[in-house]
Amino acid sequence: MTVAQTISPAQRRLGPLVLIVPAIALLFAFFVLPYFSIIVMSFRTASASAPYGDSYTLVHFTTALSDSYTMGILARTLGLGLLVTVITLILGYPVAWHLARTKSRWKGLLYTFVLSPLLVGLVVRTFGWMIILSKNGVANQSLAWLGLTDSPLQLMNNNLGVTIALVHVFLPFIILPLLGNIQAINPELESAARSLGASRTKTFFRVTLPLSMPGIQAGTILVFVLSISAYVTPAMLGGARAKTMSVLVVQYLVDNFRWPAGAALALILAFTAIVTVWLYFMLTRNMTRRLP
Amino acid sequence: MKQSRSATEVMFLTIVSAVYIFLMAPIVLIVVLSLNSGEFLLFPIEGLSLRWFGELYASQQFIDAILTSLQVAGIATVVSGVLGTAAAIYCVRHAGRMRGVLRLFLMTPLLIPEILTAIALLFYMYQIGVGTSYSIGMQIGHIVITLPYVFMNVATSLFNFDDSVEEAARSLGASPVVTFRRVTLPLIKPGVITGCLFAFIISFDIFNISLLLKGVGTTTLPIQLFDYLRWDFDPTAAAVSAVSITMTLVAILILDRFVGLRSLRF
Amino acid sequence: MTALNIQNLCKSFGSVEVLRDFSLDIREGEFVSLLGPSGCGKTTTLRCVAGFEFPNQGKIVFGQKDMTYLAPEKRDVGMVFQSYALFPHLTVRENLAFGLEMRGIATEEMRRRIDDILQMVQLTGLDDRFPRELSGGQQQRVALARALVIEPSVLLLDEPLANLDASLRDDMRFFIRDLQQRVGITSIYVTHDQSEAIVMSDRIVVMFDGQIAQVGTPREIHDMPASRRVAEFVGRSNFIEGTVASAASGGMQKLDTPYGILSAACTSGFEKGSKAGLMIRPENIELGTGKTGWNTLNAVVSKAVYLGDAINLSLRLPDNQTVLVDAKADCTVKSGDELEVSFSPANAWLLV
Repeated sequence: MTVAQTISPAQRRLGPLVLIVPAIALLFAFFVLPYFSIIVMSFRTASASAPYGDSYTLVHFTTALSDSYTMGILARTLGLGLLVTVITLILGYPVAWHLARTKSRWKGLLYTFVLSPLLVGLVVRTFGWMIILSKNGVANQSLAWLGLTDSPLQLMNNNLGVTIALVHVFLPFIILPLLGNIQAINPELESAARSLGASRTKTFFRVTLPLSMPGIQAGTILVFVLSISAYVTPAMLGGARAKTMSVLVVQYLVDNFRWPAGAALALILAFTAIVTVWLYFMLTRNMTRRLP
Repeated sequence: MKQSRSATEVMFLTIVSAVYIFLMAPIVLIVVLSLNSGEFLLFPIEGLSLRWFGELYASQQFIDAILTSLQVAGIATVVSGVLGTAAAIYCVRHAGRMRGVLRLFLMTPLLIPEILTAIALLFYMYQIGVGTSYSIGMQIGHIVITLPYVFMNVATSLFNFDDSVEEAARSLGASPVVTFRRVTLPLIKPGVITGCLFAFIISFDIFNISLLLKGVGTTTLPIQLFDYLRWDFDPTAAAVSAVSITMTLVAILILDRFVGLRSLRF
Repeated sequence: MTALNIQNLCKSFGSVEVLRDFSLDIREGEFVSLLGPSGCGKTTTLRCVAGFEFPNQGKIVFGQKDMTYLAPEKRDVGMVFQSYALFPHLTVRENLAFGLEMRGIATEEMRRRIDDILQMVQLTGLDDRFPRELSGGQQQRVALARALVIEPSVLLLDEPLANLDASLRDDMRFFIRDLQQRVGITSIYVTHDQSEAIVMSDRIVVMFDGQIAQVGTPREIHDMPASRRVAEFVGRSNFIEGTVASAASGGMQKLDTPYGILSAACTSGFEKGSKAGLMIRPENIELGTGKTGWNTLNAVVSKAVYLGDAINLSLRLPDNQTVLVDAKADCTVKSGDELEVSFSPANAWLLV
């Protein structure tokens, strides 16, 4: 028989806090504060003998923004991000729809197909694409065997290879939010539209598509942000010809020890991402306005 | 069935099938090629052999890298597991109006690109004087990235949890601690296990943070593979990858048996 | 003139036979209910008529056209779904306009039809709202309006009142029935609620296990059920077993029971000496001796439950069988009392 326990009001309020404080403290100390470090670092001066110097300057920003090489890489990175986002949406939506509506008994297996690339690791997946896209790789071999090409195509170390691999990497990231969204749409809505005379196509465009806009919005933003900041895939497959901002930043930090300049580039990339996403939100706001 | 498939249906299913194949192709290729008895990463494979796994086993670098990855992932999983579960319990049960804000905050490491977090931690570690010594920064980075996964999975299983079970226990005389241990914990175990498994796999695959924050002389498996591929392009890399893939597959199978893949949250 | 003709419909899902040889003729303007417990095949039948399922065998004919394997959008049906299925991203007006747009109706005509139907369902002025801004009852009426505004040949309703509160459900039953009669549209109504079917239908089709158990008017189904299962599904009943005592005469038969010879109405075909059960509903049994020619039973009250508008009595007969009786609320009978109850043979029904 336990002794009757009285809990003081203070204990009742503060007791549970012990559950959340460690996590919050960890994130604050090692996630929030470090981000201030980037901002501070970007204003520091460069130094020949150390990663960064003692005083502060704006020069890294001005140099980067006026350098055509750097801006070219930024433009390519954004273009790549846009392209990858569009392609994953076009390829991913049908898969998400199929997975949401299919009654096949292979549904679980297909779900694994979508999920497992995510968990296999970026280096491994990009390596897989190297095998396929290299000069003697599977793709070129197949094309030659089918008689479609005379000499191997340049599928790697350029924008094409990076695009293909990035699409592969981020397809699950668009399929999964879409899947959740479509599954939540009441199937009777589609039946209702058909009973009112709408063909399958019309039902899709007038009912299913509008109602899946939140999923589309979430998925495309996720894929865009992730693909413009991707490092591993452009680094392994892009070579010198298809450098992206992340590759350049890491080069500055690790190879050249130019930390302030690297920080400035990272911030420029982050800022561009935020602006693009905000614009996108504004433009698509109308489409989700009508939804519950 | 009298209804035959229309042309659009056929086209649709073809596209969908093509995408499924596209998703699995590189992974399947790697596994096949890792068993190649020939020297090159080419098709068709010459024969079946485990020689490249043997090469992997003999390579001290790779073995060290695997062990480091396992260690880092293990520590990250334990720390994230405890912190994330506690945070989830607080958020679902005690947070009240702050719930939405806290949830968003705890999820932010997932929403922000990992490369930026890696850079931020690098600068921060140096500024507080720790630098990359002992790879502490790397370990912390792994914990920060894996925490949201645990939090999310535990929080979800708590949402589906019926409070009245705890109230019943209390009315029968169980103290809060006993209730937690004998009623709550067993019921949220699936969520905790899912979250921890996720944390482990994610940590094992982390690249950007490991790249920037690893100490001298340490390396994790993804980094080692990345470096290897800069110079060599042979089936050893495929063997390494196959090991990584197998680990993931085992983890997925465990998850599916335990909780069913459909209940996972990202 | 037959509006809808269903012939020998059979449907299986995998190895499970859900519909067996279902045949029904529905007249134009008729309101037919498909009544039965879950899993009896009533919803499957409706979905076959709508075109969301295709039968393995059988035919569905609207007027002269064979619709059996036609896609849903090509059939001329209006359907009201259990969840209403209102498009959440469209206003009420846009929801109503949807079917009209699919049919290419001109804007002016569209506006006229929508205004008319809004008035008919008493929702004028709410046309700019979104479904989530309406109450359950209002959403129900929008769903009904959307199905009717396209002026289909057949109206199909799939348990549309299941999600409403009890009091609202009662009102809506009359509302739907009135509207259907005013418009004169052939309707098929699926429900598991027998009181609903009885109140609303011209005819009821009682289904069990994928087959038709009985087709008839509400009165026929209730007062002259074709089997015990139908009798028990469509209301409360008491059964008194016995042996058929004589040949039928004037639609009546005598039954030899442990409590004496009782008379009951019946169909033909009961042979003297065969076993039968007499069905009498609690609401048709009265306390006291009753009129001449009525059947009487002696019993002891074992339970008296006050229901507010009546008292439900459980009576124990001499051999311990229980009989339920509905008595008026002011009845002063209590447990342990011995009394006599009686009922008219016309209200008793003989079943195998």
